[in-house]
Amino acid sequence: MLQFFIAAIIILSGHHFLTGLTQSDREKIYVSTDQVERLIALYTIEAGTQPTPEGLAAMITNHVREQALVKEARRLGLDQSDTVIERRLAQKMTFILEDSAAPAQPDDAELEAWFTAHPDKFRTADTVSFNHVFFAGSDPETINNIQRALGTDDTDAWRQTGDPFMLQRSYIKIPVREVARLFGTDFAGEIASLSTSPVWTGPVKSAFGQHLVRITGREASSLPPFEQVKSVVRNDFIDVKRREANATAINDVVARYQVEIEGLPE
Amino acid sequence: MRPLAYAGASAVTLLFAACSQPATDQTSTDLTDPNQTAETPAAAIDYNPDRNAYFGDIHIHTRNSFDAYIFNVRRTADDAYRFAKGDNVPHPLGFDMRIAGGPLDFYAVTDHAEYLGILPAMNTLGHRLNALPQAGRMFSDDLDIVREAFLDVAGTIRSGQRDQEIYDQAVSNSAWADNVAAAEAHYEPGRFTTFSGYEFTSTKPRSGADGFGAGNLHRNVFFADQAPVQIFSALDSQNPEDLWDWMDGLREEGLDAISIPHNSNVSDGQMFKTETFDGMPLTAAYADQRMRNEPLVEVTQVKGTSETHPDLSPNDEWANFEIYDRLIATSEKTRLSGGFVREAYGTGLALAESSGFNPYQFGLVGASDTHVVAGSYNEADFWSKVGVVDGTPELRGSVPPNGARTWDGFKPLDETSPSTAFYARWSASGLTGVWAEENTRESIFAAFRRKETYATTGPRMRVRFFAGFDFESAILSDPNLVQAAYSNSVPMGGQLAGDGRAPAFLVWAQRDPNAAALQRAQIIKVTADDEQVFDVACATGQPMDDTYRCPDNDASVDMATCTPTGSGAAELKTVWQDPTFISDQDAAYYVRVLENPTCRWSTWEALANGTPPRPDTAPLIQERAYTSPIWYGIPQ
Repeated sequence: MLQFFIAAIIILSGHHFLTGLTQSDREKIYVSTDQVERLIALYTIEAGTQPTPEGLAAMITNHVREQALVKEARRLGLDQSDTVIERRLAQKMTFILEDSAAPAQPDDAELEAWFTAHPDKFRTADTVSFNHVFFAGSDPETINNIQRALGTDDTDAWRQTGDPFMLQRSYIKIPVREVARLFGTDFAGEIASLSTSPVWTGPVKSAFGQHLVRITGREASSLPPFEQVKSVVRNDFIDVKRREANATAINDVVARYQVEIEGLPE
Repeated sequence: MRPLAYAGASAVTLLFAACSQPATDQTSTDLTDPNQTAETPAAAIDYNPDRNAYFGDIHIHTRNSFDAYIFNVRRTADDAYRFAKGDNVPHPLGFDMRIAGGPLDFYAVTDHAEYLGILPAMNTLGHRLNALPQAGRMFSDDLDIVREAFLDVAGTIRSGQRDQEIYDQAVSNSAWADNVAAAEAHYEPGRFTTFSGYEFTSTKPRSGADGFGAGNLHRNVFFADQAPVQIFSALDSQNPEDLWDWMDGLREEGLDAISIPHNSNVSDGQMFKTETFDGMPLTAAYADQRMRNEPLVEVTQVKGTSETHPDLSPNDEWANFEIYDRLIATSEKTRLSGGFVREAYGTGLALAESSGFNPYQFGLVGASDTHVVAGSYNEADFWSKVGVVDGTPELRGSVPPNGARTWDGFKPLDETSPSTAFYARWSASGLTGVWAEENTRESIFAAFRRKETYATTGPRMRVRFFAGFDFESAILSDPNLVQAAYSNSVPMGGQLAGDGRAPAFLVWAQRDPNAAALQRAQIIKVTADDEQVFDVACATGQPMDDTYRCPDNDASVDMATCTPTGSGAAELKTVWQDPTFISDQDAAYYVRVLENPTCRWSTWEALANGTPPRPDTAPLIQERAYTSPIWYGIPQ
């Protein structure tokens, strides 16, 4: 092993070594045996064979050069106020911190407690059932006449009035959010405010045109039994705990510092 | 396990992402955020004999894909399906991704079959593959070594020569089983449909070329319901015809599947050529087998559109749309002819005329090809598709580099780093619309088979298209229009046998209520030796008799805010007859619907950054839908 070091030192130190020139105030670059062993191990993994003496010398040389350049860059303050390096460091630290905790493994009791504590997360959506008659561009007079003619007629005659509509004319227990996806948010908001009635109301405006609407039923959001949504509760619990653990890990790091913020500029 | 995972992650981010945002900036820690409420999946809409439009993305990658894992993607198929159902899922750079336009109706994970699950295993302490030298290289601290190791693996997929040391069938079968299990777990008949699927990643290198450039022959394979325990990959054979043989064999055992080619735009002219993979003449048997296995083609996705190219369709003013023409992961330009679906429809009709068979009678779908488990379909909320290397506006070239406020002295895309040149040309696209009776595997797969499908570049517009001899304009005001249309005409994807009369075409498009208004509906007619674009319904006025073009509807965009200006249509509806119709000439007709102009994703990002849009990308786009054609056949 010793001859490798000598070779490396000769290459690195050049004539300074040969002339015996040394300066006691020079900062030391110390290459430990452990580090050399690591270089050899890395090489062996890569190449599948031990490095030659020349190869090892070159590796040590490169290592020392890199250390010297890094130290010199630090000495000149090149690592300070470099946005790229700072972002990279913060990102590396985040990678280390994130998901370092083992995933939560809640038992049923914990899950049920979570379910009880956060019922809103597991409620079914509000739904509505309705029929509608579509008007692509009819004048208010025509719509009014049809509205009056329909009255509270409980036959299927309404299905033959108005303009053709590409989606369905009748929806049963559709989540209000889904109405927004199909008809646009204004229409969904309007539908949400109407109550069940045999009377045709409207016209209600949608992204497509005007609609006479008859609400045939509403079902308020309800909380399903725990057993029915257990797997959803489990996913939610694990996900929330993971996020909490990540946030805590970062907050712990921040807490090691005393933060002072001078204030906004005048 | 953690330190090693971290080492790999940092190596690759350093290699490809010189400056990324700190991940913590956008990580939500607000536990009371109402957006995090568990959502009910898409509505259970009852069986509808007139068929509903369902929307889905069937081209999704997760950590099990080698080229996702290396870019720090750690999310699973389970996360992918949760995203499609409306849950937030984190991007590898830390910010939350949320689906645009609400939950989708169907979704399918399609990881690369080649080395499926191998990289995660190589990065797991204690796993046999983790002890291999290749694992040390793949997750090395030295970025050049990581790059080499990654390109070595990618190179074996390109050549089809397995790296026998890391190839591990048991690991891949197990990852496949995980993906199948996630698809089963998330399938909710009537509400949300999943399919087990994967990507067959075959390429055809340019003859004599020793570079990385190769024609893309990738396909996604989908199983109608049950999936086999082992899948056929490009490491089994690069030849798609061998894939079809395998699929034919499975079908005989009762496992039906289809495969859907994508990115024919960068196939180097190979996808729709007039010879077999090995350069032999096409035969009727080839056409039968291809159509039995490949009824559909993916026409739009993140890596551009494959409808047509301005050089192939010089008379189509809308042909220059989201064009991406570089062979994958290179700067080499692809050969155009043989790579685009409109030309392929003509090629198919010419073959039918000369030889009596048509291997290119396929329908159209759209998808994202996202590699971060979550598709970004909305121009105003784009995250591209690769992972850490394209996860910020600066990395994808939409804002000036290094915090500059202007593009003064900027380098044009062709002179920038290759990666920026790729990403800046990519798109916030796309989705598949299907007309199906209900949201189940049976119903949606049957729609795939009958090609009653269409592609969109992201928005969820609804498009109906029928052709027949027995309806007139009066059908447009029939309250039961759809029922009437189904009863006496054929829908998109179908064949209309000529009987001497001129057919009528019913086109009916409805805007996405949460996206821009519609500008025009067009019918594109393709014959053995010609193509023509007809505007058939306009937001304002009627198509002109001499030019077949709509009058300008004066729609534009306020560039200071990206707010659309001018008027557009909520619906476009017409019955059209072909003024150039010839009774004894085969023809394919498909519909293209254009929205009013809107800001492209790159413009939204520039606006948010307070800098001008990149000068060498289009600031505005017109989102669109493409339907499967209806084929008119001469009277027999």
